[in-house]
Amino acid sequence: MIDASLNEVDALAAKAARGAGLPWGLCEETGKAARWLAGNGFEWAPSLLALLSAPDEQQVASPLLAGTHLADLGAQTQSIGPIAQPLWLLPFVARIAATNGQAIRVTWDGIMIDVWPFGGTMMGMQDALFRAKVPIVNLTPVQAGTGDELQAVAFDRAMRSSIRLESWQALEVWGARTYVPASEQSRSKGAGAGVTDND
Amino acid sequence: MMTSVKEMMRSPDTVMRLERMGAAHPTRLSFLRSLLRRATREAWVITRPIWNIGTDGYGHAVYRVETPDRTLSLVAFSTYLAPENRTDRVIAEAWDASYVLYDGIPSAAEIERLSHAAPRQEAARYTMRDLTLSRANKSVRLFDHVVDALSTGKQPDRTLVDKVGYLMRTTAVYGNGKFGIADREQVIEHPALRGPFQAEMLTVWLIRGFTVDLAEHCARAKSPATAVPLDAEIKRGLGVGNATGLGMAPFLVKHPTLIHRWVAARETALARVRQLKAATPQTVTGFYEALARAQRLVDVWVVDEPIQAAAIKVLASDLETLRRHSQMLLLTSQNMPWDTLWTWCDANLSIEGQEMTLALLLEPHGALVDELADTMAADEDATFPIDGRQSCAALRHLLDTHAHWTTPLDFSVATAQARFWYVSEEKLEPRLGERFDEPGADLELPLATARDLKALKSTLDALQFDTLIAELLLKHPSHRHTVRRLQQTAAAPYGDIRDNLIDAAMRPIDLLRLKLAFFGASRFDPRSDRWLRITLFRDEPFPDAFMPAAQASAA
Repeated sequence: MIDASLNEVDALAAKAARGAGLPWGLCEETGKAARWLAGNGFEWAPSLLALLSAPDEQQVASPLLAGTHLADLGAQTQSIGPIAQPLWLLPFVARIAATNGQAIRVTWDGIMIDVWPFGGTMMGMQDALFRAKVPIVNLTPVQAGTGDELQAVAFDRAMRSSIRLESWQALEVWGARTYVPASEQSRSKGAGAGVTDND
Repeated sequence: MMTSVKEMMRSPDTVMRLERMGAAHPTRLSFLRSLLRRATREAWVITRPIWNIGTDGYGHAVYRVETPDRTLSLVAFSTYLAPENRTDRVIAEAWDASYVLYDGIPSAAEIERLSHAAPRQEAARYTMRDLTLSRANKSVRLFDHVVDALSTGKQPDRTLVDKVGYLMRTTAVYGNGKFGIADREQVIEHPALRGPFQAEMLTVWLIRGFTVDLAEHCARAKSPATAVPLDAEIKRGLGVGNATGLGMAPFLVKHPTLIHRWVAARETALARVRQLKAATPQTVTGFYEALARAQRLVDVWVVDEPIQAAAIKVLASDLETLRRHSQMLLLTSQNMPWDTLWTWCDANLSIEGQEMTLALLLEPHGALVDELADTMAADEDATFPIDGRQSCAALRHLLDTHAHWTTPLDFSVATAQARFWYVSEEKLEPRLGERFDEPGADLELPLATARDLKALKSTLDALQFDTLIAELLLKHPSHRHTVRRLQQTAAAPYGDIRDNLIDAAMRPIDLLRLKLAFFGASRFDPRSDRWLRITLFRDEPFPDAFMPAAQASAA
């Protein structure tokens, strides 16, 4: 296991997304989303890897595209689907909740999650969190005092992220696609060498 | 009617040009200065509880800093380095010394852990108790000379000390979560480290103390009977060297909100001074003292790089002109004398001279400007979200008001996009390539801000004005980073570098210099158009000034 800082999570997720060919702005979003997931105790790496390696399906929405679009609009009520890796909608819902100062309930097959401006709670089956694809996700503003939250489990706030070495390395492989191999020219000029640096 | 401070501030169109950024000088708002002010104000106590260095000069030491809220430690390791492995470049795998700024007091087990990790730098992993990670190489010619001289009871040659300016130079000071060290969120839980780069500055300051302690130790080990400590005056002239390259450049583009805060603080300070109705005898004296110090600094600021060498020559004559003209200007001005002086400088001095004058004007006005140092941090998370509910007409308006500087640029001309920024596979570091004769331009980093703004504009030209930004970005996600940056820089105009960063004539060292000046660096010494040497903390107090008297005199 790798004990990563949240900044490393952000940087690695963004770089992997770029390696997978996402536009820069969406890579920035992916990094911030991974950081939010890690910071709220969610395992983020395997689902990101699944998302990056999944072939584009015409009928299935990407949670990164759908999530940023919802966040851009500040949408509090919405039904979307089918959608891949719905876990990755949560960071964007959290942004909407924070902007409006109003919690949002997110439900999909097997789980109900209340996302608060900071943190949140969930009820349902743990493995439902990591579904590869769901037919529909519903967002609604949370009505106070429904009593549902009594049985809910709060998110785990975390300052670090524990990542399996294989996941870390697989994300690095995606990230490595953003690197330019060295050439004679880049070696001699890329960093402006040529002047002695040892005195 | 009085002109407001805001109206008196220089425009981002003036300030955020590469030519002027490349002439920036440190001011009293620079980060190392604010660190030292805080240390003094809060009466920090600095001790050296562990000095476990052998007669060969290798081993480890711990420096402890007690602030009113928390305790921090610098754990320093000195290790053998074969001369052929001593290089400042990122390819290095071994260094003369390595350092970790540690949260609290390290146990023996933690020191043991760090003794295996720190000398390996980025090849190892770190924990959230480790706040910064750094390494340094000796200036062999000065270090050996100082040790030799002190061991025989003599002081080192003042000319050589002035010429080199440091015993060791750091080749990297890592913060913010790199290699598993603490995230900035944890670092800023220390009130003393809340401002930008305060943990990094504290690290470098303590390293400075270590370099002199190590040289004196080596001199004593060499000849215990004859060795003498370094003369206090000579010691004060020693800073910590630093070699900085392209790795720092993307930071300036990626953090517009933060950079805006830095520049806005400096520009606010200048405007406040210019607005003063009168100059007091104390501030006038303070100004001339600062000017004299600056003239002495410029006398010993010698570089090989021809453009900087020429600029220094002009700066020397600018400062002399300023000295001669300022008395008359300050005496005869009926109202706002500092503004009169500034206006004259603006019209008569080189850009390097103007930026130095800015620093000199702030110097005697600490009571008026120092509190601005507390405004230089930024909550970047708050400015990350895009407001997609605005219309493209609103976005168009932002382009007109904040991206007007791109209008004259023509990217159909090859020289306008001659370069591309990329990350090299070999070093995993940012590099600059030639677009038309090197491979890799398809992997370009998003530093072509001007070109991207123009591309956004042509997309907008083809859209209905009432289209929402959210709809635009759904259709054209490739503009997302540009739209975000435009919304950010509209609220943070000093955060936008108003020049083409991929132009054939662009000099990366201009970018680096602005950031280094905010750190508090002096004696910029470009070694090419892509990397430069600087010194930090030169002529500032040493950590031992904060040691309890008994220990300081025993040391």
